[in-house]
Amino acid sequence: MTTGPDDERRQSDEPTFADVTNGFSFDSRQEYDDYEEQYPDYEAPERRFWTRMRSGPRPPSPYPPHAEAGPTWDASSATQFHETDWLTGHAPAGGTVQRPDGDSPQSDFLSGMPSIDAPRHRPMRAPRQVSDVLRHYAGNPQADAHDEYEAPAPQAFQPAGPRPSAESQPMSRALPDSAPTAPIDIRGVGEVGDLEDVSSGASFVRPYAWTRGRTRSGLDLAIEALVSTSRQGRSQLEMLQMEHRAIAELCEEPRSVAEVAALMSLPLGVARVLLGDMAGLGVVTVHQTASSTGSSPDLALMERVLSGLRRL
Amino acid sequence: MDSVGSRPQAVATTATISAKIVVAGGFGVGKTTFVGSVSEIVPLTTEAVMTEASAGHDDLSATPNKTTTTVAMDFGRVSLDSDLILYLFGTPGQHRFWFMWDDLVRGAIGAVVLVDTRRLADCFGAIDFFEDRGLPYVVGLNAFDGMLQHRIDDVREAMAISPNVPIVTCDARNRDSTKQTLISLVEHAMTQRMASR
Repeated sequence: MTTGPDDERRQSDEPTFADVTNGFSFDSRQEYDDYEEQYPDYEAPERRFWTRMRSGPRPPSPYPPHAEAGPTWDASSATQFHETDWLTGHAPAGGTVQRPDGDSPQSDFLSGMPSIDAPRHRPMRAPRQVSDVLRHYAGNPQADAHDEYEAPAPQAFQPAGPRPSAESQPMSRALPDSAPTAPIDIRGVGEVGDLEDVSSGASFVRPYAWTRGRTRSGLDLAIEALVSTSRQGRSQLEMLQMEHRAIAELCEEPRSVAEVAALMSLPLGVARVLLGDMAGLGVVTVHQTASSTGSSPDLALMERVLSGLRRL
Repeated sequence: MDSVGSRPQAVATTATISAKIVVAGGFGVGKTTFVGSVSEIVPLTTEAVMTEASAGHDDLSATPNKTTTTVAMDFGRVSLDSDLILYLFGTPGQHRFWFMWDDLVRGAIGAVVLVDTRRLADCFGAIDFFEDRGLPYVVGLNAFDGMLQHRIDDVREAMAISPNVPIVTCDARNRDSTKQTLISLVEHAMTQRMASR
């Protein structure tokens, strides 16, 4: 663990500002895990995949950079990004978090935020993922004959090594019960309903990839600012890129920036950048907020709020 | 990158206006409950099961049954009119998320500081913050178990807040009580605004 300049002032399990703004998400890995359980053959893109593969020969990207079906994935920039140094370098060694019950796979809100469990959590997942991917590239169906999964060394690139069989190695067993998965249950309780398909998209792509590295929006969007899909956006819906389209569909009725972030399972900063882009393209309209006209809400508006509250 | 701070150019002239009120207070004082009691949507929360990781950070002595806590903000929505929506933002209860507060208070009508009189000191940080920013606030004494353990005057003296800041009693679980608290906040904010003219 490298130490930053402000390490003394931080509690050991305290996320840094960067951790939270970049990694915080209303999202959990729950949908992702459910998906994996439902489709054992599904080869999930492990988030840290590119970093791990640096030690060995790297297969070509399975994801076309501009896959129509998936979120925009800039494979070249993701490869260049040395995630280990940047993220886990901050990760403290502490965080003795126990799972309250061993069976249920806990959603892992902090998986994008390496402060609590990342260093110990990730290596346990990675071998399985890497092997899965290797099997894919080897194109060797015989590999599935191996029933027992012996965890290979995380850093080893083992094309001929033992490979897990997805059928015999369900997700829950791949993770030892003692795995220090953060027992954090993020519930986006709300009228999410049919938005679950949309929100699961956020699990696959790192926040910086959604925004192509930007952390600030061109627009100064307040968290309560309402956005709604413009007529232009509605007519262009088919042509929009995936994440813009999902947001445009969400904003058929006016929703605040915070709602978009929560319902899309995006960090607030990412939602801001995306909405700023969309406003620039004319896809969404940003409505007035109470403070649009000045630093603080005007009296007439407060009067309206007051009478509205009294009518409730 | 440096365009932050510029005003939105794409602001619509028509349609809906949104306003916000911040709900602050110490850890476990009932902010999420307060927001939920009046919100028309189930509050979109980011609650986490409390773990050993919070031991030493979060004092549970007065609220032993608390099992979840809000990690970041949570918020509720109240449609006041066909074109006016009020958002209630609960502040993060834990100190490590204080950096989000600036974002939360910017442009807010005011703030409700919820107070549990058994743990008065928990709200001092919030009150300092709002006084520093000049944000109007009211203090809501959340009556746990339906009864107040201290007189309002005693609380005011103990908290050293000025006489013109309203202190109201409320029950965060009760919609009408929450509504009344919000009404007194907006009234106070308007009074303060008119007085400053």
